[in-house]
Amino acid sequence: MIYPKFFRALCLLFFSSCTHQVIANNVQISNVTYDEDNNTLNFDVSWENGFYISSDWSDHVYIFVKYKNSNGSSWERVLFEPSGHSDDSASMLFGVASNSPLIDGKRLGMRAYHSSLFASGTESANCTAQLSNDIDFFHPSFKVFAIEMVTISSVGNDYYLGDGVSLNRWHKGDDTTQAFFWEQSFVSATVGNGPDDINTTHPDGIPVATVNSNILRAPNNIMKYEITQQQYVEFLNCLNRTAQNNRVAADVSGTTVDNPYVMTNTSTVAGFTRNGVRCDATLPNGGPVTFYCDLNGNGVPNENDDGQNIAVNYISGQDLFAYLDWAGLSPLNELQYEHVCRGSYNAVPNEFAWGTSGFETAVVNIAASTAGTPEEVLSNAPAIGPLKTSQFPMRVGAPATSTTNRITSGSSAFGIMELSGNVAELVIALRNSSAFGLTTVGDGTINSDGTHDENWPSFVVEKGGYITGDAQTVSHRPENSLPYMARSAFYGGRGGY
Amino acid sequence: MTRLKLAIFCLAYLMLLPLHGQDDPFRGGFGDGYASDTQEDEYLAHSAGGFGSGYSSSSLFNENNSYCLGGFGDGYSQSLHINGFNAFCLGGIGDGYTLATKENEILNFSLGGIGDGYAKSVVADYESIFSKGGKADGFAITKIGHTVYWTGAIGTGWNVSGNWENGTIPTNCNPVIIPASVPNFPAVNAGVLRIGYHFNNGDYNCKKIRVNNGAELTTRVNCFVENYNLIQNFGQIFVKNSASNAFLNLAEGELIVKSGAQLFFEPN
Repeated sequence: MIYPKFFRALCLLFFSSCTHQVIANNVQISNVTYDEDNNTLNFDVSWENGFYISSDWSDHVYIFVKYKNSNGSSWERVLFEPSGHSDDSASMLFGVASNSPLIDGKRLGMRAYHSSLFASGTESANCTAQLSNDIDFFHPSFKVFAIEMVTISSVGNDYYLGDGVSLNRWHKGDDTTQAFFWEQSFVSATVGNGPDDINTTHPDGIPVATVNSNILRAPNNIMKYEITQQQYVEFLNCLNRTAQNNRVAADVSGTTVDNPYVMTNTSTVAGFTRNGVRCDATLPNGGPVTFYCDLNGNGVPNENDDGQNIAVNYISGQDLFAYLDWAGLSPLNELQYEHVCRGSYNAVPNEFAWGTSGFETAVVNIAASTAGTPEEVLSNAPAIGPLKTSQFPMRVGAPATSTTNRITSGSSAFGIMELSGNVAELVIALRNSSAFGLTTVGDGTINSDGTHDENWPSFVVEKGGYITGDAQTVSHRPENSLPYMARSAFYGGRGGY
Repeated sequence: MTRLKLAIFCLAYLMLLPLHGQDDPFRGGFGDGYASDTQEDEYLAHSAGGFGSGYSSSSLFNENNSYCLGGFGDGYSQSLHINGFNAFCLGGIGDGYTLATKENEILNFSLGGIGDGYAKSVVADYESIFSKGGKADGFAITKIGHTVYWTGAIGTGWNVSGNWENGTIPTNCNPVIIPASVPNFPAVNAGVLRIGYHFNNGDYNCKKIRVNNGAELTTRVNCFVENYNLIQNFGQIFVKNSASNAFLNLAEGELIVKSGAQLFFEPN
C-alpha cells in the first residue's frame, strides 16, 4: 500500500498549489440551427469557470440530442458520427463523449471540454456536430440537452469502503472496524473473512463470491448536481402519453386532471415539498401532455421563480432509471456512491460527503427574495455541510458560493455537489446477486411504456439526503431496499457514464 | 569472503552489468537482494538490503521507505510548499505517516503532529478548487422546431391547422415561412402574435417569420405583435392596429425589411 498512498498524496500536494476559484455552473445552450445540406447541428454552449487541472481532474458538459421528424410523432435519439465535429474556441474542445455508448459505430453523446489547464473565466463556444448519416431526417425538430459532469479521477480509483462504525457498513474482511481498501489494479474483490477480502456487517451479507471491478469502480463521469425539476420536465415532454402517465404520480391519461401537480398528485404545490412540476388541468384528447414548472402556483409556466433549478423529488427508482437510460447515463450502486463521495481519502468515522463527521444542526433558510429562482441561495450559510433547510428541497448547488470550501458547500472529494444533503440519492441496492451483474450505460431509448430497457436490477436504496442523523453518513447502509415504484418527497438522484 | 574473492566478484558483476542492467533493472547477480522481478518482491526487498545490493540508500525505493517511516531527523526539511512535489515526502517530529499502513488507515487518519506533511490546510486548498458555486445549475436545453410553411388552404386563420403544411400549427419553436402563390395569406385578428421564445405563449406563436417576395402578412386592428426574435420581410406586412404598442421589438427582437419589401402602418 505504500505506492498508492504515496502517489495519491503527491496528487494532493499538486492540487494544493492550485488555488483558483471555480464557479462551474450556469450551463447554457442556445441558438441551435440545423444545416440540412451538411447534416450538422450548430449551437452555442457556455458554462461558467469550468476547470481542467489534468485529465483526471476536470469537468465538462455532456450533450445529447433528441429529434422529431415533421411527419413523426415521437422524439428519438440522435447519434453522432465519430468525427467531423468542430468548435470556434481556442481553449475548449468539442467532440464525441468517448464513454457514451457506441451504437453501430455512432456515439450517443457529445462533450465540450478542456484538455489543458483551465481554471477561471467563462467558457463559450459555437459548436458544430456532425449528425449520423444513418438517420433519415425529414424536416426535423431538435432538442439539445446539456448536463455538467465531473470526471472521476483514475487517481481516485484506489479508495476505501466503509468507515469502521456506520450501520451495515462495508469493511475489511477480517476486521469490521476497518475499511476495505480497493485498489484499481485488482480485477475483482473476494468476499470473505481474509485481510484482503471485502465483507459487510449488513444482515443480508454479500450474495456473491466475488465483486467485479465494474461494480466497485464508479463511472468515469458523474453529474455534478442532482436531477432538477426542469430536467425531469423536459424528459416528460419527450415521451408518449402512456409513458408520461407512468412517469408521474397523477393520472394524466384522460382529458382532465384533478391534480395538475403531477409528481405530488396534488392540486397545488404540496406544503414543504417544493415540487412545481405540473401540467394544465385540461389535457389534449390523445397525444402527449405538455408539462412545465410552476412553483409559484400562478398558472404561468416557467417563470423566473418557478423552481426549474430545484432538485426534483417524488421520483421513484423506476422514474430515475428511465430518465438515466433515456439520457444515455447509468445509475450508481451503493459501492460507487461511496467511491464518488470519498475519493481516495481515508475513511473518517461517520463522515458525510464533505469528508467530516460534523454537520450543521441549525435549520438553514432559503433567502426569500431568491426562492425558486436560478439565484436561490441560503440566507444563513452553514459552517458545515447544510442538511436541514427550512424549505425542501433546494436549488442544486445553492450552498456553494464564491467563498465556500468543500465543507461549507457540502461537496464530495471530486467536487460533486450534495451527495449528502438536498434530496436523497437513489442507487442500486447490492442485496441480490443479480445486482452484482454487469451493468450497461443507457442507450438513449426506453420502452414505449416509459420503463428503461437496460439490464439494471430493480432494487434501489437511498443514500445521502437531508434527514439528520446516521441515515445520511456516507457508509451507512439502510437495512432494507426501497420499493422500486415508491415516490417520496425525499427521493431524487443522478447518474453518470 | 577474502579480499581476492571480493575483487573477483566485483569485476564479474561489472562485466555482467551491461547485459542485465537496462533490459531488466530488477534482476541482479550473485548476492543481489533483488533476484525476483515481481513487484511484490521488490517491495519486500527494498528494505532488506545486504551485501552487494544494487540499491543504496539514495535509491527511489528507500525514499519511499523513509516516507513511510518518518520520525525525527528523517533527512527532509520542512519547506512544504516551496519544494513542490518533493515536499510531500517531508517529515519531522511526529510525522503522521509513521504508522499509516493500509491496515491502520482509519485509526491513524487523525494522527499528526509537528510538521505533519498531511495537514488539513493542504487538503482544503485542493478542495477549494471544486467547491464554489454561483447561480442556476448544470443543466440546459434549447430547442428548434422544423420550419412550417403556410398553405392558406382553408382561409386566413393562423391557428387553423388546415392552413399549415402537414397540419402543424407553429409554436415558439417553429420558424414560419409565408410563401407567395397561396390561395390566402395569414391575417391575425385579435390577440398577441409572439415571435420568439418567451415564458408566456402568445395567442399566436412562431420562432421567427419570413414573408417571401410576393407574400403578405396582415395584423388587424386588435392584434399586437411582440417580436423577440426575427421578422424577415421580403414581401408586404400590414399593421392595422393604431396603438403605440401594436408592433414591438423586444429583447433581441429584430425586424428586417429587405430591399423592395414594404411595411405598412395603416390603422383603421
